Amino acid sequence: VTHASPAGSVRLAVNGDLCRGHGRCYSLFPDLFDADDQSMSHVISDTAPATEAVQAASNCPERAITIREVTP
Amino acid sequence: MTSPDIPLVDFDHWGPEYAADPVRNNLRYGAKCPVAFNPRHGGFWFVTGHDEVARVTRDDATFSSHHDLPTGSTPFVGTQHPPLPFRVTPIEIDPPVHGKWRTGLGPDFSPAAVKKLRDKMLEYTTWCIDEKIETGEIDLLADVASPVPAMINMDVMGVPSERGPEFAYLSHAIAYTNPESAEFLPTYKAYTDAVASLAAIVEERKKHPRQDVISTLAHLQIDGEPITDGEIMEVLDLIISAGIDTTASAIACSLKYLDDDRDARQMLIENPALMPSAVEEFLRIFSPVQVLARTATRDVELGGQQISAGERVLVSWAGANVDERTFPDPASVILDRFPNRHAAFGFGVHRCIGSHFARAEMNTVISEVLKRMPDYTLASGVRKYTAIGVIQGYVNLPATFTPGARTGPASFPA
Repeated sequence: VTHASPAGSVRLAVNGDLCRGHGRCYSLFPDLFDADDQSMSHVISDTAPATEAVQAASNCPERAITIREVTP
Repeated sequence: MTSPDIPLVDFDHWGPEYAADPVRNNLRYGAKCPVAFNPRHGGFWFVTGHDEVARVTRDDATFSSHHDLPTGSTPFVGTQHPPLPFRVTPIEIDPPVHGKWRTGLGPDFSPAAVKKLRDKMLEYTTWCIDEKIETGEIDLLADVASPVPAMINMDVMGVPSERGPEFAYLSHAIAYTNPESAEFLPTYKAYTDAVASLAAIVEERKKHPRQDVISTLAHLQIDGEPITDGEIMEVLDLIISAGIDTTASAIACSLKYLDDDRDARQMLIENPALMPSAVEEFLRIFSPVQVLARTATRDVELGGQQISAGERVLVSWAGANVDERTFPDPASVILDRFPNRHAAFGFGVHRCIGSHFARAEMNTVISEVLKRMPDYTLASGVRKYTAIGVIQGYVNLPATFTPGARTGPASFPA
């Protein structure tokens, strides 16, 4: 998923085994992600607008963000 | 390893030709990769593909950063090629031990730590610009791009920020002075003496810890054992050498670019919201840390080439950043490029720990220069580093501009 802009909302997840704390997601979308004291990211919102979720996932240097399901 | 089927790139990454135009050269060598063999410096694999660089640097078990001492006693000689005669701590330590160092240092470099120093960053930038604003003349490198990251670096470590300019000057001189020139030894000695002088602060923090990196290191235990004084100094050396001139270089390259491309400058002046993505794009195209090395621990196939256990692998972050499979139109600076999964801070567990500071410093300094010296024009005599090896940048960046008024306090904002 890199170019699609689906409508609706999705469930996001950050894979803690892959995240290395680049912080690209929480810099860009502070309403969706936050950093811990090791700079690692976690989601703070259960659901996210699909467009923003796709953008965050496509911009992650470690490919650590997955979009789990789409709800209409 | 030199069969006709193996793509060869024959260039010296420490040579003047490579340093003259790294972007063009990375594109040129990248066309022969993603993985090619370079016969120079004892022979090594040169990895430029974005996917291949990511694969190498996420697989520490196969591509080791480990550095055995004395250097050369085993094939494991760390992250620079040719290798340094000493170990760089903790980047030349592999997982799982590396993670223990990293976890100890993590909070001092987190976004929360950056947020605490945001005001200082602006105060230092204002002070640096104020020192020159009435004259109409400035060296954007020596007067702003270098001292601001240095002063923040001092705050992070727990060293008086007044020492920032001294460390800015020395870490810059170390980066651009040719190791074979007569100036190198005295420059190197001045640098190591300055780093060694921090030992007194280490002793003080052992007794009276504060919230800073020196206190963290003075009390850091790995597997229940305190780290040694020597290791503390090694980490401080790394924080200084990797944390000042890299960011200074990124800022200098950006300001040089914005001198050449006045349309881009105007866009950023009119639309400051563009700055965060512009900073990412400057990091991609200028990649201050161009390359770092690994050693293969086993025979492995990478990018169609067969790498043997014990061989050296030079990872080109800068090459990955102009890989057209990942970045369309890679040679163009596109201020709102998105997505931009650049490798300027590396990948994997060794991702640059100072990256959040670096971004904030770039954003603050470039924004303030554009705000207060919007018509700056580079003067004659701009000099690039004559050798890259690891870091690329500018020796100086003299500029003229329409003079303005001071906006900050008259004395140093310590």
